[in-house]
Amino acid sequence: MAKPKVAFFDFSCCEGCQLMVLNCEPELLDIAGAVEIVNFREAISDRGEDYDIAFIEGSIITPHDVERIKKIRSQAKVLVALGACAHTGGLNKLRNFQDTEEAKKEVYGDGAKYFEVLPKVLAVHEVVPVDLAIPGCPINRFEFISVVKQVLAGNKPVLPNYPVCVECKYNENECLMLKGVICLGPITSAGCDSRCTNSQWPCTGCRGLVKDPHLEADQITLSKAGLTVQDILRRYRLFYGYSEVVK
Amino acid sequence: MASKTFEIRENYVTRVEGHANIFAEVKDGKLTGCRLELPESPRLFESFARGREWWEMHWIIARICGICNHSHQLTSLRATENALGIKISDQTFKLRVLIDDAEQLESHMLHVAYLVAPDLFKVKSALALAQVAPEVVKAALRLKRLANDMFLYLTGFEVHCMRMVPGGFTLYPTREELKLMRQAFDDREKDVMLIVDTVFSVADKLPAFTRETEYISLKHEKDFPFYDGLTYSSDTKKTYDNLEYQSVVNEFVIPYSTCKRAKHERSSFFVGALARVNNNAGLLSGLAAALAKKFNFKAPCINPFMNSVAQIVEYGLAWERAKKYLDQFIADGIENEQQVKPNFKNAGRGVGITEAPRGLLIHDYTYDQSGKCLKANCVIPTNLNTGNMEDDMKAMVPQLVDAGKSPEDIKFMLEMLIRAYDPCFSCSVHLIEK
Repeated sequence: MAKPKVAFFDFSCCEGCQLMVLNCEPELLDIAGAVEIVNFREAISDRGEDYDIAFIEGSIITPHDVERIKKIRSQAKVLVALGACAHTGGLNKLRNFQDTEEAKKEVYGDGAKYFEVLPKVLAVHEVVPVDLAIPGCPINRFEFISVVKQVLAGNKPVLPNYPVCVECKYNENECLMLKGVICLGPITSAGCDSRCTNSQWPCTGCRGLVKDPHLEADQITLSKAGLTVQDILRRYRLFYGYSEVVK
Repeated sequence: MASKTFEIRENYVTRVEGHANIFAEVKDGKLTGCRLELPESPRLFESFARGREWWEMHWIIARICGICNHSHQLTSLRATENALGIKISDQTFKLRVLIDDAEQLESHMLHVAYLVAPDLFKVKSALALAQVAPEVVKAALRLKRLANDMFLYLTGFEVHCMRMVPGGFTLYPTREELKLMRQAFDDREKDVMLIVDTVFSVADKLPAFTRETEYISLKHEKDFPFYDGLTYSSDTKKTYDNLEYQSVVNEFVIPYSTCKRAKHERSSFFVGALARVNNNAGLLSGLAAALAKKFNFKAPCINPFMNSVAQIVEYGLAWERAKKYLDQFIADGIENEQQVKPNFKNAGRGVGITEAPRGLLIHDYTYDQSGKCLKANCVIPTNLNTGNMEDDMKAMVPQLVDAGKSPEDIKFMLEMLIRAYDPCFSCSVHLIEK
């Protein structure tokens, strides 16, 4: 059987998720042996236009990005959103809460006129259908390996639909909220092995909202902790900018 | 030769971080056009830093770049701490020096072994290299893991870590973890020698191109500067105060690039490993000095392709310093220190400057008295270097044309030149006009 052809494409992002793929040091050569990598600009010079599985990193932010992602979609049998920027729009969506022209001027001054961007930053699924997403900012490399294995076996991976708190408890962490630290773990999808709270850093929601989050209870808890509506929105907007609840 | 007319265009140079196109036009043997275009999409990062709080700035802004995210966090924390009058402890300072050394170990190994070595072996990638020299690639992978494991123990994660915070750390490594990190250095020493010898065996394939330029980096009296030092120019032989950085980098916007350019004493200047080693050559000792000697690296070196050799020299330096610091921490133990708190009464502007693996990195923040960010400006090394890259291209193409090289060869050499700078184009597009 021919090896499946795999391509990686980067859009607007920090390329940290591709780097997490390269950070699978012990497994990298095995992965590369199981597939044929035809396009991975950050790491290899070959560039093939014939591929079965496309991993997409980054958000869609220019008219050129839109054309490019449509072309990739028409070619790929399976399209995977790799990391928060592709999956939900990630941090890039903070720009959607600002006046774009003003933001361009802030960054580029009079030079702003040279650069064309879409009025809103988009996640990949807002432009073309996405078959699978590997969430996180950046991705969890163990989850990446597990998803790759399942896709190669012809299965559809199922990602956790329970909050980070489940993993955090399992890791026997003391709850940060009890120490007065505001944490978004209760409403954020797990799958990260609660890596932030393991390090005593609050969850900021990079994997996106769990399905049917208990938002009302969360907002009551946050306001009891002294956060105003504006404070709560600022927290939610960091990574939930895609969601109706923060618009 | 005089009848030579051709055009070189390479969109999306591979094996670099981010997007860059190269363009050169030769008519009748004369170079008539030459550009480095950066079509990276603008993300407007600094604009959405406004209104964010002091404790989360490093968490947000470091997401400019995945590859040098630890450098971004280190620089961001310095800016915030300077702006809010936070004085860090000696232990925090030393841990950050160690983390910065790990950053250089990780990034330099990635650049030299994955991105540059394939050019010297005339293969398309490290994966192709694994076919011809599997032991070398496996050694490089193990060394990258050594640095990544240091991140797991010291900062919590390989990319976008969480334990570094303004005024200290949320969590410290245990004694056992310190010992594991230290043991890895002994276990992997053979791997370093294998990589060094392998690169040395093909070092004669590094092009002999030279061009004088200005070298700007941090400079330090005693300790080779990644984390600490003052900005220094090889042209003026002067150091500059952090708050004066704008008089050194002088950024400007051009139409074909979302990345701003910079100039100081000449039309462009060089930042990165080559600048650091040139400007701090007197501080090399031990393994770093031995590596410089082995590769016949003499400062000042004006061959941009030698940037990869300068990275190997720095690798030796970071390797030995990290070992020394780990030994010290194991001997003295690490105190479970509390974060130093900010003083909002004196909130204002703060500038942090460190050396990212690819050169001088500057963050400049202004906070209000509630600790919210009013203004942020980041100056990224690749942006500082792009003018110098283009000036190198302009000097190199005519030499290659005169030497009778084919357009294919010239294109390959130009790509190799861009890669030598270890650029990070996706970082480079977030620069602000003052």
